[in-house]
Amino acid sequence: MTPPSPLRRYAPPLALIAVAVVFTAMAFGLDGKSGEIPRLVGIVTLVLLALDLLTRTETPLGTSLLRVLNPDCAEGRGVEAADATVAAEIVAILWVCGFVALVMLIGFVRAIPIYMAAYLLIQGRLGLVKSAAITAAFSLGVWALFVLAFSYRLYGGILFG
Amino acid sequence: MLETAALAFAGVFTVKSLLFLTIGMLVGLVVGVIPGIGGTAALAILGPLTLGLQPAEAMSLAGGIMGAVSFGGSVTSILINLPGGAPNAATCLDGYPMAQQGRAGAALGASASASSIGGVIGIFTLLLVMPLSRRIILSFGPPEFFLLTLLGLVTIAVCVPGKMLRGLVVGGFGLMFAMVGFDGVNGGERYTFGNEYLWDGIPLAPTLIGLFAFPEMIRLSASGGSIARRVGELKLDDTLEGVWASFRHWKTVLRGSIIGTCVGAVPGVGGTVSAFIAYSSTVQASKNPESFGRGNIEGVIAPEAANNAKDGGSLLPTLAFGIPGSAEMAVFLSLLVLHGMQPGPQLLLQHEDVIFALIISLTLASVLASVIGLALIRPLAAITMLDGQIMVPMVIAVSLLGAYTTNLQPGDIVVACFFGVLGYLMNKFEYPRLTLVIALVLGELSERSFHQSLLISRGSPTIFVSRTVSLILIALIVFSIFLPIVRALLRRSRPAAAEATP
Repeated sequence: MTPPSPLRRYAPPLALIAVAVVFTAMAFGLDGKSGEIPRLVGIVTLVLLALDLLTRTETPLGTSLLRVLNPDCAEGRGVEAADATVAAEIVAILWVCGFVALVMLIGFVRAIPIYMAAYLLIQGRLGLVKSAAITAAFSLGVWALFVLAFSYRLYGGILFG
Repeated sequence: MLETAALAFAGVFTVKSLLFLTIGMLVGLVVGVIPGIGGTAALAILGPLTLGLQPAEAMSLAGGIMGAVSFGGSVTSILINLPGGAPNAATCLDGYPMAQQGRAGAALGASASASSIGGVIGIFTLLLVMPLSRRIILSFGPPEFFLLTLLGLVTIAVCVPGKMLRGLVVGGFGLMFAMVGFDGVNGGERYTFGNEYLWDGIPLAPTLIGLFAFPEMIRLSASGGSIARRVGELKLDDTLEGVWASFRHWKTVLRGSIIGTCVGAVPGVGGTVSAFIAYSSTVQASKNPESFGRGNIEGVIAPEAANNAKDGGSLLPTLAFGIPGSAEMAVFLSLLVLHGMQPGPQLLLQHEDVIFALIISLTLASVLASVIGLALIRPLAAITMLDGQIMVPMVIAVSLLGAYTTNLQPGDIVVACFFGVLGYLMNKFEYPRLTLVIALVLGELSERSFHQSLLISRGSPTIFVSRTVSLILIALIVFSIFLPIVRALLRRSRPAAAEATP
């Protein structure tokens, strides 16, 4: 098994440390008792993150700590084999974010058929007829259930809401 | 009392009442399956329609919904990692890995039987402790709330045994998320960045939908295939094995049911807390804790038993004092008022027959909903074999609808998406999601109860050790902290002893 790249090894705790530092700094700006617990949580989390960072180094102390505190992470134990490329993962995330943006813009009723049809055709590589049939059936089902049966007023989006 | 119970039995076992019970169960199963709707919406929608019915018939309908909704929610949790409601999220942790291994039938079977048994235990506990309800409920004040949440929080360190440090790190971030919003005790906004939507804090249901449903859909979208990685025919004995598992692991069922009933009886704590405490306590008690999160059937049994048992518990303050412990109970309370019943101590005296009818309906629904669910297991489990590329857009769309319909806030859609991407990254970089959820669920309540306790005692910490319930909770916290250490020491000493023996 190839060892994880330095980016994969150190980027997560470093990103989390950055967030925790911002959180803790903001906690120190909070008034009196409102900031007590956030300050405590921020500082303790930073200490834990420092330990997490240490366990990722190949120093004797880091290796010992890893064995005691995160044994499943030692040598990739318990990790599923990566079965998708980073590009495919980014595309998959973009599909979700794109759909959310579409819903926020034009609402559920319009966004669902557009997203369904586009996804099935482009990402799912289904035929036009099959994609159209699945999209129509699903969109109709969703509308019947949420709007007709449960009388929900679904979000109409920034443009049509 | 026996005469009233017999009358209630006669009232429930009429064709009309049984029909309403069946309708309630079917509605409960359907709304349980659909994320974001849940029993609260179903009761709110159907409640006014019961106005022309006899109280016992209305209770049959309500009992059917309440008894069936949590099992319905567990179906999607197991099959597609999409919790029907927030309390079902704990079932995802081991139910979904079982579905991935081609053991969806066993997971659903275990969920069905654990739900039934848990529901029945919860209701019988309700019957037993109803006379003592006042003392039990009044024994929980802010110090006890704080200690109860602390008990849940200390389990963070032990519920992800192989990744303890990362579990604690994520727990810290869960607490950070829990700090977002208006500080109700001390006043002032925290981490809202001037956004009014964040005043109420991070909403739980959209967060859980995002954390559990989205990551798997992103994975499926990126890598293709179907949920069940081991594609094979679903056998019936797989399901029966699951049903039988609840009886084999009777201690887990009992523990989950007791936790569900007790936590359910505490107003404002709710089913999500009970399900996660039941899950983490089962991990803690297990001799094989590292198997959890990878398809351990006990990880399905414990939260399911707790989830259904909490119904009996949460009825206690609702019926006895008119204090609804959850949104669902608040709607149920309005149903009682709609039928001319004023909740409170007098309710049990004046409308004993109706309350018994409700209890019988809930018991029947707990068992029958699982039987109906079991009958549908084969077609349901086939979902895990569906082509991922067809399933992904459907699940994403239904998840977002579910996240939105919980509070009808457009911001919830963004929250679900944010936590969905976060959940995927957590999976990818091996940070456990369970501890984030536990900390997020308990964080706000914990901080609020802590400050309230100190306000009551004028800053004296002795308030946390001044009552019997507090002392019991402290003992449980100490026990929870030291149990894994003692167990580890015992494990070390056993091989040493074995080596020493010739």
